[in-house]
Amino acid sequence: MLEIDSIAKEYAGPAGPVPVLREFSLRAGPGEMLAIQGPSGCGKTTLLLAAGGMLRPDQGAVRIQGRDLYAMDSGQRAGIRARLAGFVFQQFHLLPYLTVLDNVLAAGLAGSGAGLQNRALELIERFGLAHRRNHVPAQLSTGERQRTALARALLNQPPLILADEPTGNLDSENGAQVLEFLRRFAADGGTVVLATHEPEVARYASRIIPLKSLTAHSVPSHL
Amino acid sequence: MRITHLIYREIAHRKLVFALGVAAITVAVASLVAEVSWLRLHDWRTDQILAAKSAETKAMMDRLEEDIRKITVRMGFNMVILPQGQTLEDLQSEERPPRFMPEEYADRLSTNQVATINHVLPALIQRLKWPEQQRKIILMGVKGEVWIQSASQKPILESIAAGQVVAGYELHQSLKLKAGQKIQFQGRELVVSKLLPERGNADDVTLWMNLGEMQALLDCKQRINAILALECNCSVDRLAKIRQEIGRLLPDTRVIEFASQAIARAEARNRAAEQASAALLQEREHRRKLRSEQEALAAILIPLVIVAAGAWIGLLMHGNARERRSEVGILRALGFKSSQVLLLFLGKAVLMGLVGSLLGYALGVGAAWLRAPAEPGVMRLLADPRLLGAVVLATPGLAVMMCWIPALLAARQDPATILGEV
Repeated sequence: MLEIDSIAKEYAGPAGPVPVLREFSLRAGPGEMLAIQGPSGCGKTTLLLAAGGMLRPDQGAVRIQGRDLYAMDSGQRAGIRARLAGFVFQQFHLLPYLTVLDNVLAAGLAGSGAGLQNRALELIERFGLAHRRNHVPAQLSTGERQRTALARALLNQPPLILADEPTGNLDSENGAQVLEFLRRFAADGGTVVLATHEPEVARYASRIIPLKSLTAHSVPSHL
Repeated sequence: MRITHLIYREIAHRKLVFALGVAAITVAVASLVAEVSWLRLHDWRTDQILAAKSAETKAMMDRLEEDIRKITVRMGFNMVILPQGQTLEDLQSEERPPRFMPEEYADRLSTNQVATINHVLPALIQRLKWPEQQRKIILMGVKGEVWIQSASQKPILESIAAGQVVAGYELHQSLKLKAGQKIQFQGRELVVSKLLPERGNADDVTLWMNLGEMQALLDCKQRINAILALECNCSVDRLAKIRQEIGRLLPDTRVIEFASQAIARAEARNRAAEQASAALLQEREHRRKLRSEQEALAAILIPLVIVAAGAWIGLLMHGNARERRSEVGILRALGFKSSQVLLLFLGKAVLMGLVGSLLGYALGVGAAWLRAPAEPGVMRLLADPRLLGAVVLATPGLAVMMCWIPALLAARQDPATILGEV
């Protein structure tokens, strides 16, 4: 499903380039829930952005379903993102002026699919947001916001979910709820790559990949 | 859900940005529409003024024409018919050989009634020496009138009986002539029948005698060299035609009008017409100048307003794009292409342009209407569907142009950078 081959990324810093990822590789297949675990600033978000086709690595390749993302132009990568990858962020990133239903449906504008309205309503129902479907994010609790973001990520039925600290702003109950949804998604044949600094969160994963600050661990390619 | 829904929701969320953009466009469009409408109103008013002035001038000229016609008909004008090649000065000159025409021409003229000529007077005029008095005089042989239009009219010139003469003022004064006095003229004895008062012209040195007697004296029987056609009662407009008719009737003659008040009146009428026409031209020029001044002012102000509005919209959209950075990042993460993000911004600009153009059009027409006279048809003149169409089509296009750069910058933002910031 997702293949990351020897990618490296460094950012320009005031005292020269700052390496964030170096020779990092991983493979994640259907039914897997991978947790990238490491402290803040170790490159977890960079890794997820690169995996989602939003941040070109300095070297290496990223493939989703065998397609090399960075061999494509940005429009094609956007298409891959819309169809094959769902993003979940720590800050939820909902559009403030859209209702829950519209936020979920917004993902459908990028993709193309029939029955989006019904599917959105199903997801809202499944995530316990039916009574909130006409509320805007400012009227939701943090847990409801993250569940809305999760529903949005699932609207186009992507086989891959990239989640960046999805429980970072949630209490333990809501966090557990979200992680449970992700585990179920993986159990149903999806692939989840989860970035977290919390060991408790990582425990939900089928595999944990530690990531240390400034230097990336080379992960055996067979993984 | 459609992308337009996203645009509408964003506009509803950030009403102030949209309202400020619409306000800028409204002001620019209103300025343009008001100016165009004012110019149209000006042209319409100009047409009205010129049409009214034209009608007034025409009515005045018609009245003048009628008055002149009536006046000149009553007044009459005078003509003298001379042999071809002769001038009035020749009649009193000794140097030019005399030319003659048949005396019968006077009868022909009166019997054919070319025009309503009141008096036809055949005459023989010659400057010659009065040998007995050793001085030069003008001798004029007259027959009296051969034609009088109306029996009630008094003859202008009495006929002079053979053997009699009438003396002009200077002659009878200098020669101390008395009425009834006998005089000698070229060996003939004649009686002074009448002494004329001073006229201040050649008549004062003229001696009148019977035409037949003078013809015999000068050996030019049945010949004359002038026919006076006095008080021709017809409109002066017909003068040229009458002259032609007389020319056909009396071959080898020429017709000269003289001492005619009607001619002066006609000239005055023509001058009045010229003045009226000049006044009309002056008014037209004044209106054209006013329009040019208004156009010149508009040529500076309107581009300024449009540029200022464009810059304002550009700034607003730039601020809007900055404010929506995280939104752009989210949409890009969801798989929106750059073109879709661009569409979100440009769609908003199109809506801004549409609303602004409609409001601006209404405001511009309203402003023009306030300055317009309360006359029927003004609103129809101002509410021009072609102008509305042009404004509604062009304004969203211009708004898109103004928003293009901020929208493009927003669409090209690196989503990873944005998401990394928020």
